[in-house]
Amino acid sequence: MHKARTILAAAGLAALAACGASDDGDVVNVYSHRHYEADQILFDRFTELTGIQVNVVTASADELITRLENEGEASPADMLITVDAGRLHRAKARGLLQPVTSATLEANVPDHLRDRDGEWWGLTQRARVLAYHRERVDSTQLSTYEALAEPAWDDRVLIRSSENVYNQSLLASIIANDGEEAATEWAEGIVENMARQPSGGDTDQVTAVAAGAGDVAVVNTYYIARLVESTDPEERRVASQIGVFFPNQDGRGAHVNVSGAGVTRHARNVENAVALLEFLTGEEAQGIFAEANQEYPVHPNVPWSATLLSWGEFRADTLDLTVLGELNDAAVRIADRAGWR
Amino acid sequence: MEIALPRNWRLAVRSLPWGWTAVSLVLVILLAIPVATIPIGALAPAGESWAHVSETLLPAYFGNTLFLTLASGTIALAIGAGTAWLVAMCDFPGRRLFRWALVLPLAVPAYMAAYVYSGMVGVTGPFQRLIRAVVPGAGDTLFYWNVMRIEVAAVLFGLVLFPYVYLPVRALLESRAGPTLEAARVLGRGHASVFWTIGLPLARPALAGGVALVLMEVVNDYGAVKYYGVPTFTTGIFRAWFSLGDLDTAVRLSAMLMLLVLTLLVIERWQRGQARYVAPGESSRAAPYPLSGAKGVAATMFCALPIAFGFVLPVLQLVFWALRTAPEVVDGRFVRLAANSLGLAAMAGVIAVTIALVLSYTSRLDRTDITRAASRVALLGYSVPGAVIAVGVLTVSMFLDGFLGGGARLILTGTAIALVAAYVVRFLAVAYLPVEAGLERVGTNLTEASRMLGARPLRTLLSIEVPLLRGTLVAAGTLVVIDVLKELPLTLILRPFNFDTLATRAFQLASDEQVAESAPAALLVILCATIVVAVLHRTLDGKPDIGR
Amino acid sequence: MVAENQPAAPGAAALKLDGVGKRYPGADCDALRGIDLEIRDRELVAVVGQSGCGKTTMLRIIAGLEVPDTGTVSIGGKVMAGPGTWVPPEHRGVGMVFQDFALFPHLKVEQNIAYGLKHLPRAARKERTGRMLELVDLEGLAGRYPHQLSGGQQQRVALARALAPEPSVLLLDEPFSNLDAPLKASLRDGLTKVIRRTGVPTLLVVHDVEDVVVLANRVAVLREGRIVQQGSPIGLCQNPGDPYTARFFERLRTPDANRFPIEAIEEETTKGAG
Repeated sequence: MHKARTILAAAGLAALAACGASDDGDVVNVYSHRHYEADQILFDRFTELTGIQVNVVTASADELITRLENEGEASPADMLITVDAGRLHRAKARGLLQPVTSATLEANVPDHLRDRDGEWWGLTQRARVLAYHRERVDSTQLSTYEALAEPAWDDRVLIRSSENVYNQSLLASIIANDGEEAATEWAEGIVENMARQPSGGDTDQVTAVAAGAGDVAVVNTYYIARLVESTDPEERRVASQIGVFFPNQDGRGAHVNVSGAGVTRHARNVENAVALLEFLTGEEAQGIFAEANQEYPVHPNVPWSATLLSWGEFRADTLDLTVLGELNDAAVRIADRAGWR
Repeated sequence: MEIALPRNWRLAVRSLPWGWTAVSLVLVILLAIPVATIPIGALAPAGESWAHVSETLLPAYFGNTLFLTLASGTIALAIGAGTAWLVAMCDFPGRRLFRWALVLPLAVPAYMAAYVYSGMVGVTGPFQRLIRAVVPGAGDTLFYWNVMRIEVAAVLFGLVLFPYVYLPVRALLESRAGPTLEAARVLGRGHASVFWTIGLPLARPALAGGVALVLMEVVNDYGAVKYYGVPTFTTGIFRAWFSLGDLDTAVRLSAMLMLLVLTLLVIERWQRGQARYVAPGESSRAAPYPLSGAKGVAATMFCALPIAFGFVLPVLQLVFWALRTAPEVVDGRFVRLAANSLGLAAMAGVIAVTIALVLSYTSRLDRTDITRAASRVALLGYSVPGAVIAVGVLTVSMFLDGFLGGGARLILTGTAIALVAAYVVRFLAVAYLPVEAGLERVGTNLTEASRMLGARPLRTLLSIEVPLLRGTLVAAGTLVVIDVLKELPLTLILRPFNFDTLATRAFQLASDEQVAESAPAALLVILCATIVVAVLHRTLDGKPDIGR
Repeated sequence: MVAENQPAAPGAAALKLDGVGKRYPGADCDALRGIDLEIRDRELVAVVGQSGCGKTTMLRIIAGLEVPDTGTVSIGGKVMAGPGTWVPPEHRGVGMVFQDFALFPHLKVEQNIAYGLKHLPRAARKERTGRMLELVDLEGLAGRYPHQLSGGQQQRVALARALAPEPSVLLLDEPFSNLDAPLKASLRDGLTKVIRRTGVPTLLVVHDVEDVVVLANRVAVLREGRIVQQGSPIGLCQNPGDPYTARFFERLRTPDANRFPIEAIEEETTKGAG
């Protein structure tokens, strides 16, 4: 009995000894919110090309940021990757990133998709669009995000929880454009028009529209595109019922967000991190982001995937992405007060 | 011959050297601190963010939590009491099978049931695919069955937690209540009459205890309510800490949740205390009511359905998914994941059992009010939701880090040590109660004989009690292991960076709309839990209820 | 529903066991083998035997709490258990006092007693409950709960409860085993008085020879599942058929035996028989 327990205890300790990042050999340690399979393919390719080992830790951006703050100088992270510009801004504001100068990066990433001080760089773009049911909605009925809050759409709108960063950033962009009061009214209108209480992710909203729970959903482009390109006939069936509409084309344009990365302030492998950044924004990686993940690349020369091309060009909101981060707190409060779960 | 006794002779004649009592008290204080930080933290003046939360979100948290507890409590009560009565008091087809099978739903964590059912009836799920493939004319229809709502969550809770009611009620009916129920029959009352007038009232303490356990589990849940989009206190705590880094709000929400749980416990005590139903001796099963024909079928269905929905269906679905995704999912990483989980659980189990042994041993031999009360305090952790304990441990470890680190260095926060400590605080009761019961059974004779022969308490413990209690200690440790394996909210908050357990991995994959990929991890947890639940149930059959 | 006041078939025994047998697979107690026993009106029969479960099993079979493997059980001439027949305990009209009394702890004394009287209108129920309380000398304790009563009082409540529905047969399972010795004598007298007053045919399982002598008209000795001897206490005392019976009645042969009113019982027996 004693022996058994000692062995168990020793095993436990041994198991715990293995965890986390390391920094022996040529490595770069990445804290990433993205957990798509395509990313791992890219990291492996990077290692193939450069011999630098990529250690990835995935968790939500909020966790990662809190973690970086707590770790301080002792942090092993070299790079932070998030899926939302707002969170990138938050990381910068808390002094967790460092500026990077690189001609390659500047060529790869257009001005409006990166931090003006070079502390973060966009990797991919995603638009937040309206997915509507082809049979029940005529696309002429759709126009702007703001219009969705009107009574005509009562009980027909599907959107995920306000706790999700994509919605927070969308709301932040509306605050920036229309002011807090109008944004509050908009949020309240959306809540009124919800066909059901928010549950599930963006894909759930799309399938719900297809199944008739609502008529229009607010979702990111790559979720729809993935359904279209899915190997599962059931998922393709869902996608076939859906039309894609880019809102606010007569105005400021559709809300666009970036997934991006920055080098951490206390990184120990700065050169490796910059190299990884350059790779990820380079044409090869961008092409994979586009094809495998159905995201819009940032690199101006890299073509879109077939599905995205089929949806056509669109006007994108050129709002400074930093603003999304600055207005995040206000957005959360407005959403809470409006009862947007 | 008169012996002059010193005035405080009772103190002088101690059964146990001071060292033991001191160690026990220190342990108890350590265990209580994380829990104590919550009310203390809540007393500090509130920040502005709390004002915002209490205005906008608190009513929803409160309303939903209340609804969930009431609804699932009622469902668990109905299923648990009903099946316990049928199994203990009647004869019908399948009774023997159901008697032990009705415990199985305990092996399925509520959050797993939540996303399994959601995936099962979802638009692209197997159920609809089947219908579209098989039912003529339905070939292209997409059905919208929204299970992700609070009502469904309540039903699921009832389905997987009713064994907490079933077990103690059945135990009571099969032993102490037997003759009383027979007396009622002999006096001429019909079946239903005996159930309502004698059976239920007699079972009240068991019902109260069981329902209290169910409610505490419901209040503790994070995964199911999060997945179904139901805001509760626990999701609020998570949101405050993770999205906003707002420890203050998290502490306040935790304090309110603790208050809610305390109220539940007080009500339970009140319900239990009213009963002076201590019948002498153990008796065997009362003469059963034979149920045949339609009644027999109804009884069989009433027992079969909870098992089917609470265990069989979810497990089958997970198996199908696992078969599909295992080739890609089960790799070196997966094995390491499983090893992490089991290692962590094993450590927590060993430590919990050791502490439980020390505390209950001291409490038995010392017999002062202090040590008695102290052990009761140590058991408090089980009543406190996992998320709350995590916040408490977080507060303590960050505070200590401030001291030790002097700067933003992490010594304790986010380490496995903090996590294991939190597990021990939370699950000590699970080990303590069986160990205490075991010591009761062993009795004091052997201990006293050993002491009289000159052995000191430690040697006595190690050479007498421990070998005699081997089975109990292993069982107690295993119970802790299972609870740790299933645990989600506490682990999500406190886990070291880049460290996942089977439970957290399964939940995250499911949350990322990769439900099928989550199946291997989920199945492993359920498998371990099932083995333990089934085996322990057979060996401990008839003995005091597990876990409370 | 209790078979209350149902007239017994003329000349029928109040209780008749015919070749009743019961096997317990893998049990450590004796099975019952071919039990033949008759109890007539106003009779009080005591069953004694080695400790084991045979005696209690017999009572449970009569009450309907167990099913016999062989034989027939008839009450008032009607077959309750036998080949092709089975009447559940609710409908047998048997009164039973359990070893641990099995009082309903959440009901007051008067509610306990009235429990078997559901079929009576309210007024009649109240009246009968009052009569029962009087019979067992517990007036004034009607509003108490069982845990507030002494052991002896509890036994009396159990008795009143069993007798209230006017059962055709009364069964008592070691009614004195849970009581202190000093209590026993007075309670035994009380019990005798009540049973004689109501005249209900009674089957009593005891293990104390004094109980047998004071209470019973007849004694049946159960050994290894069979009734090896039946007869009056005096008869068995004087002519024990086997070593167990002899040992059982041994105490009566000692000088202490003179304490027991053997003559009184003999008189009662001659009077009460028939």
